[in-house]
Amino acid sequence: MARKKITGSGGGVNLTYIITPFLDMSFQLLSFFIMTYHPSALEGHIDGKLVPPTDIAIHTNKPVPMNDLPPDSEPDAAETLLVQIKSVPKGQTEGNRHDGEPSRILLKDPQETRTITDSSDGTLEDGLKKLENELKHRLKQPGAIKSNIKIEGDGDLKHMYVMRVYDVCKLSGYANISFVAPKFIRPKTD
Amino acid sequence: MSASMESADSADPNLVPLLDVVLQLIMFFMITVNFVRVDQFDDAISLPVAQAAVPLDKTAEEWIFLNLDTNGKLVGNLSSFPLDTPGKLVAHLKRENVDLLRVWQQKNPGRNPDRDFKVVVVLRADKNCRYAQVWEVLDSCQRAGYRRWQLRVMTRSPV
Repeated sequence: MARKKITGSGGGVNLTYIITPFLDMSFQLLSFFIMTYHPSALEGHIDGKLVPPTDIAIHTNKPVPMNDLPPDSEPDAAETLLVQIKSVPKGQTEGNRHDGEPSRILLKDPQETRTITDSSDGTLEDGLKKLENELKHRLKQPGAIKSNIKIEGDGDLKHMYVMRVYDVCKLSGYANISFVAPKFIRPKTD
Repeated sequence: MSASMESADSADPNLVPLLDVVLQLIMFFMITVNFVRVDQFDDAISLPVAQAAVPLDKTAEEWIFLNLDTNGKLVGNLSSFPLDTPGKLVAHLKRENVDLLRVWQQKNPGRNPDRDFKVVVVLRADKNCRYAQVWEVLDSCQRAGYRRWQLRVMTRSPV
């Protein structure tokens, strides 16, 4: 590294490093790393499995492993709750709800064939709270089992609302949550 | 590092502490840098938030990244495959699967692909795209023979 000669007051010579070019290069490196920095730590994932359409048709009557729920299969109906999210159709509004927002969130128990929760009144936050309360309430009942949950959304529903409902189900204590394709895209099994 | 100014009339600023800080910052960014391909992470896509999502894992052998924008169109190197003609996308994904398997078999000659070859489709869908569009992509992946997928989300709202 280059050195600069400085004559001291006593007549001697001080040798100091010229660090300015070093500093310039350091700033350039720093700028590069700041600009290419990607805070990927915020990103998470939700795992899923896809089952071949032929397998769905063939294995309809076989039991499906609890932690291996394919999205288009029919798991044991007695242990599966269905969360249906109806959405405001594209280009329309319903009251103060806009295009792609949930208009109703229904919690259905296939065994009892009835709707447990219907959040058509109130805001979205009210509906999610109602769903959370009902899911937690079911888990607290004596002899309650942790059911599977299937989330079925309308095709026009915005993706973020599906994730919000998923969050509510997961944070209510349910581990096995699967997604169901909108009806019009469901693959044919014949 | 330190430098002392012995000369009383010297007015040079002491740059050494500044240099120390800059070097530490460089070290931090070098350690945390994440070089990724543009087609894997598209900043234009705003992911939905799901607090219950799990941290990223890197256990798969191969990855296929699909970015779905706010209008439900694939972006990046798959932008030429519109979802209204899924046949083309399925054919492309099948080819990609075969190519990945061939490369994997060359790298791992003794291993059983049925057991060990894990390819995961990573779907990064914008929070404003429609549920049907997400499923159109997943349906294409299913028809192309993929079995595992991941939906990418943010674990908390970006600041």
